[in-house]
Amino acid sequence: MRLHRNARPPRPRGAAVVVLFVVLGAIAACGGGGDDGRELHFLFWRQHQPEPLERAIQAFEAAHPDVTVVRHIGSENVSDYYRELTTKLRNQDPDVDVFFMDVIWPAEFAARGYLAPLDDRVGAAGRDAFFPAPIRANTVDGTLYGLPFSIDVGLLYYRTDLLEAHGFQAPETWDELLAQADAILAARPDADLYGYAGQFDRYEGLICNVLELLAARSGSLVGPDGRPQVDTPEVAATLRWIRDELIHNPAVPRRASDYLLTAKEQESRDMFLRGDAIFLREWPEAWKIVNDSARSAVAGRVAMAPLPAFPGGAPAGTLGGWQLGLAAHSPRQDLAWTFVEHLTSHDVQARLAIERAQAMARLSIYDDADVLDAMPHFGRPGPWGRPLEDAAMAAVPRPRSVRYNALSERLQRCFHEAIRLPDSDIPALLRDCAAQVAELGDGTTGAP
Amino acid sequence: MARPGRRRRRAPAVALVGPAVVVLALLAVVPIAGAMWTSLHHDLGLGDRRFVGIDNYGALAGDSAARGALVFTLIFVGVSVPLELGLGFGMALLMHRALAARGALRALLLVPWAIPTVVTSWMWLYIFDGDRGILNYLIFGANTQDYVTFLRHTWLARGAVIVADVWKTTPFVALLILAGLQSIPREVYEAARVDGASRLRQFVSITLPLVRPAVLVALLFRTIDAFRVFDLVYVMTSGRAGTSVLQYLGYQRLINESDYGMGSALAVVVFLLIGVVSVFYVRFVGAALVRGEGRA
Repeated sequence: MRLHRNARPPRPRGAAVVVLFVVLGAIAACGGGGDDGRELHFLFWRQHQPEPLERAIQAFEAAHPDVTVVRHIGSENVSDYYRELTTKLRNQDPDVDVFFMDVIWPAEFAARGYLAPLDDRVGAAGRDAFFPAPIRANTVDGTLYGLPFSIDVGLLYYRTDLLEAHGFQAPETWDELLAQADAILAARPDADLYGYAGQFDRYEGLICNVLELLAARSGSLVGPDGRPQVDTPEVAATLRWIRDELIHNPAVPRRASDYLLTAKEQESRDMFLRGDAIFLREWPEAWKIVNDSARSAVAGRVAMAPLPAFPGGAPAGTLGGWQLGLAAHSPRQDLAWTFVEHLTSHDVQARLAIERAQAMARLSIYDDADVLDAMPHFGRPGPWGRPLEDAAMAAVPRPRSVRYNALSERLQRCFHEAIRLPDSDIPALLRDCAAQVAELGDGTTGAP
Repeated sequence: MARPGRRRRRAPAVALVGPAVVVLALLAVVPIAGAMWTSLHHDLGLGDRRFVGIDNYGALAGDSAARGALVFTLIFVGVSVPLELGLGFGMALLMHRALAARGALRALLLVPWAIPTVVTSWMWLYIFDGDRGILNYLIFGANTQDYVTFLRHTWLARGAVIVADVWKTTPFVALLILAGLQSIPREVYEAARVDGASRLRQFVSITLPLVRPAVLVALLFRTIDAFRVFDLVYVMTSGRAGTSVLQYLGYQRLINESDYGMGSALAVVVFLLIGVVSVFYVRFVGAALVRGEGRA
């Protein structure tokens, strides 16, 4: 710099700057393709298997040669992704036109004005093409704010070899599940085997696990007034069952390891993959992993069923899954909508279902011959009919709240303390939790 | 006669100090004042910002989660800092003695300190893992049925977080104290030996007083740092089993729940706690420091 300044008079330098601007302008013009509406910014979380989604995006670009989809890859950790996404939406970042959101977020995002309404784009027939539970989750005060991409639901995976050795079928009630586990464990006194593996660490998954056990005895976290309710006999009975029957039962300590109190999906799944658990509660995408012989010692000896019920209740799995939302601040909503239509079309959804072994949200793929060929469990007839579709149809949503994260944090703390130690004071914990939830007040609207 | 001269000298002084003051004000004072102001509001980012006075602080006082986080924060500071100082002092003395491979030792010692805290946290999480953790293996061997889920028990989980912190930051304390030890002139010890002072006498009368400034600096740094503990809890326990700390709770309220008022109130509480401790150190310990130097 200094050399140049000394060596040259200032005039040519000024000219150089002018030339530079002209060149930069030309480059910018080329880069924009002469039309600034043809770049689409898609924010999604880092995929475990990135290729299927990448191929779906490429197919869109192939069909729209003038469009470049700019991939913004967020964290694979849901809380981190939430932070990245909400920061961008709050700041009206131009780097996000269309994005993935968790099924529990639309209520908050709609209240914050982050989401473009989709009512003008999706009619009644459009809504009916998807599982009803996620469509309800995306509908806030009668307005549709997102389109379901994939659906998650809590499922029961079980070891067919162990159950068949005792002549057992997939359990239809939780009592039956415990009885089967006890019988199998009694026949293998020194094996490194536990009955049940689920997710009971203090995190969002704990809410999912508790909610489906609660719903299986016809309980709910939402009261008749539409507000969240915690201090009910059903919630207390559910927590007591987890604590006394499942985790801290001195008479049958191997029904479930207390390790589950620190287990998320991966930790519980690892036990099952090693062959150390008879039953596993997991999401649909675990199917591919438990049947991958490179990673799983039990590949080919696993089946899935809807989670069991308690007497008088119905089988229930918690609803999860990913939705596609349009950023309200995006100037490219029409283009973004074309992209959403593409990702939720039958062909793309069918291909994603096959390649990711993931339950997709569009109903028609569950009758697609190619999907059923590759993923027989998506529709396999048996005692449960079509286990995945049946479970997804009956999926139980988590409470809807503008302050869902705050509500969930209070519930996680209370539920975990209730089941962590065998002598917890469940009524006192529930009273304290109910008071905290009530204090969240105005932001919590309830009704799912 | 002297006045104009002094004024002429003061002008450049203001010009020289001014920018630093402005930068400090922009980087520190403005954000801190902003957080304090926000902490007096109800603000969920829903366009509902309103002034509520000290209601947030009142709510915190009545919140069992905040009280629990305060308790473990104080336990964490109260246990980890003395442990780190004690162990760090011992390590510094050993390294001071070791003449042969002191350079290599010092480099080795720096390894835990150089590892990012998040990585340290993951490492200790795996060590304490209740399913296939190495600590369980060392205690129970192949008897996996006996394995303990350390991180679900209140005091074992708290202990695990403290152990991880001690492992990581003791080297930092040791290096600070080692530098203090090495700054003590050898002649002082030689004079003491000539006077017939025993080893113990030398340690009590020479080493301890002269290394005190270094120890106090380490104490100040470690105490302030310990109040701000976050990563270890975030990774190792997510606040379960009585291991939530104020900074972790503040993160939950501010980032996860968009509760800007409450999150700011928690940040201000941590700030005030650290402020009280710092003022205490500067007033009492700092004064002792100056007196100690005067005597030396």
